[in-house]
Amino acid sequence: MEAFDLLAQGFAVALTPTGLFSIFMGVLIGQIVGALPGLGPAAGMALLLPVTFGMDPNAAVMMLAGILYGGMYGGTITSVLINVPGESSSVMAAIDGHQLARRGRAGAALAVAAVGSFFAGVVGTVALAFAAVGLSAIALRFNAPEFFLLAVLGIIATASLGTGSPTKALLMGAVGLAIGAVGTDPISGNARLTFGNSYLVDGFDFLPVAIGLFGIAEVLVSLENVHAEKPITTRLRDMWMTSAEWAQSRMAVLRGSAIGFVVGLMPGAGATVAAFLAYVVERRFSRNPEMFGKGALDGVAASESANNSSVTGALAPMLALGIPGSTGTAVLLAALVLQGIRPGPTLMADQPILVWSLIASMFIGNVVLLVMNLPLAPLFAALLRVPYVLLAPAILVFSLVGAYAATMSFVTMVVAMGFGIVGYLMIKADLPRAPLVLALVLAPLLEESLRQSLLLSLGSPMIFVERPFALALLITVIVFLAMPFVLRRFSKAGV
Amino acid sequence: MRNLELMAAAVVLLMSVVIGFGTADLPVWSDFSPGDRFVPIIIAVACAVLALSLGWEALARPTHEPAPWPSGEGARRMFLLVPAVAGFGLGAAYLGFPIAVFGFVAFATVVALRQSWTTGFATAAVTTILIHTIFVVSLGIRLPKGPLGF
Repeated sequence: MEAFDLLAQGFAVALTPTGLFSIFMGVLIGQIVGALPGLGPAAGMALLLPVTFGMDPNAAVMMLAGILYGGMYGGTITSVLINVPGESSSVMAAIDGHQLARRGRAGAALAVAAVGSFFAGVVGTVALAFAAVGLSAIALRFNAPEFFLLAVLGIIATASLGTGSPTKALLMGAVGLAIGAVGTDPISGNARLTFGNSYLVDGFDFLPVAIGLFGIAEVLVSLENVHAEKPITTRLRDMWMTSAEWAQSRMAVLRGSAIGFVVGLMPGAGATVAAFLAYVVERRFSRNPEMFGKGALDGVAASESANNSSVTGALAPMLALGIPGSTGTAVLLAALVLQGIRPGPTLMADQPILVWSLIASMFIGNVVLLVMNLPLAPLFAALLRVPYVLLAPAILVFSLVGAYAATMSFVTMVVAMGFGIVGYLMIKADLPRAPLVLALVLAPLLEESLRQSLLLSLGSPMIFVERPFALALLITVIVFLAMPFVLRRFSKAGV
Repeated sequence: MRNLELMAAAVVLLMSVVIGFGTADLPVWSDFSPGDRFVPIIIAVACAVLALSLGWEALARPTHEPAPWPSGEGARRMFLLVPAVAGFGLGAAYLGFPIAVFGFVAFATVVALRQSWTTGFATAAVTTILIHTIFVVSLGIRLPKGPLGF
C-alpha cells in the first residue's frame, strides 16, 4: 500500500509543468539520438549530463531516463526506413523491418514496434516497481562484503554476458579500475598515482571519460563511412497493422517484453542481447519461421519489445543496489552522484520521491513516445533527410563544450578529447567500452567496500564466505567468471 | 587486428608497471587493515595477467581479420578531423569559444566533409548560436571569450 502512495506522490512530481517538460525533452532527445546512426542513448545522456547540472534532481533524472528508453524507440525508425540500425539493439528490427518496408509495409513495422515498445515499457515499469522494492528490501541487509562482491559481479557480468571476447572485456574492466585508482585514496586521503600533478589529485571524472569514449569516438567512427541512404517514405494513414498482422504479433510482444525484462535485470547483458534472444525465441514459436530474415512482423515485435523492457529491467539493480547493469544506467548513476545523491540500497528509503517520480515519469514518457511513434513517425522520418555530415561536427563541439562546462576547466575538455581518441582506437581493436566505464563508476565502491570488509574481519578473507549473502554472491561471481571460458571450450569441442 | 590487440596488451602491461612503480612509496598493509597500495597492486596484477592473456590469444589465433581502418575518403576525413578536434581545444583557449566553435564546424563541414561553403558557413553559424543559447543563455555558463570580446 505504501508503494501506491509513493507512486501517487511520484506522479504528483512528474505531472508538474517542470516534470512534464523534462520528460518530454528527455524522450524527444532520446528519440533523436536513437535515430541517429552511431550515437546511442548512453552517448546522448553523457552529452546532456552537463545541461542537467543546474536542474532540480528529480527533473534531471527524469530527463536522462527519458533519453535512455526514448533511444530504444528512435533506433527503429532508421532500422526500418534506411536499413541502418540507430543502435546495435535495433539490428534485428533492421533485418526484418526493412524487408517489410521494401514491400510497402513500413507503417506496419513501425506501428508494431511502437505498440510493442509501449507495452514493454509500461509492463516493464510495473515490474520495475515490484523488482526494485523487493531487491531494495534484501539489499538493506547488505554490508561491505556484499557490496564489494556486487561491484565485482557488475564488472564480471558485463564481460561474461557480453557478445565479444571475455578476455578483452575483463581487460577493459581492469583498465577502468586502474583509471579509477588515480587520485586521492578513499580511506586515507593520500594522493595516489598522481605523479606530482595537481590536476590528477581529484582523479578522472566520469563525465569526460564517457563523453570521449561514447560521444566523440562514435561520431568519429560514424563519419568514416557516411552513406546518404534515401529513406523509404511512409504516410500517416499507413501507420497501422491489419487485424491479421496484430494477431500474428501480439504474443511476440508479450514474450519479447518478458524476455527483455529478465535479461535487463542481469548486469551487463544489455538491450542487444535481449533483442537477439527474443528474436531467436520468437522464431521457434512463430507460425512462419521461414519469414524470419525476410520480413517477419513478429520478429520486429519481439525484438523491439525486448530491447525496451530490458532498459527498464536494468534500472532495478541501479535503483535498488546502486549497481549499474548497463552503460546507460552507469551514466544515470553518475548523474545521481553529480546531483549530490548517494546511490545504493538506502536510495529508495532516503530519496523515495526521486525514485517514484522516475518510475511515474516512465509511464508518462512511454505514452508520449507512443504518440511520437505512431501519428508523428512520418515527421521523425523526415528528420532523417538532414544530412549526418552537417549534424556530426555540431555533435562533436557540443560534446567538447559540455565537457568544459562540467568543471569550467580546459583539462576536462582535453581529457574528453584524449578518451575520444582512445575510444576510437578501442572500436578499431574491438575492445568493449562498456566494461571500462562501468568499472570506472564502480571503482570507488569496490575499493572502499573491500577495504572496509578486511578492516571488519581484521584482514581475514573468510568474511566473504562466512556471510550467507556474501557466499551466494561469491558463487555467482565465480560462475559468471568461468561461464564464457567453459562455454567456449564446449563450443570448440563441438558439444 | 592482431597488431592492434598486441599493442593494446603492451599498453596495458606498461600501465600495470606504472601502477606498480607509481605506488611504490605507499603501504600495502598497515597494522591490521589494507593500505593505500593494496587495491592498486591487485589491479596492476589483474591488468598484467589479462594483458598477457590477450597477447597470447592474439598470437595463438590461426586466422586474423584485418583491422577496420578507414581507407580513401574515410581516412582523409580522420586525418583532418582528429587534429581539428585538438585544434578546437587550442582555439577555445586562445580565441574564445564562439570563434573556436564557428571555425571548427566550418572547417569540418567544408574541408573535411566536402560540403559547399554556403552550407558549411550556415551550419557553423547555426551551431554557434545554438551552443551560445544552450550554455550561455539557458544554463548561465560563462564560456571564455576571445580577444575580440566575444
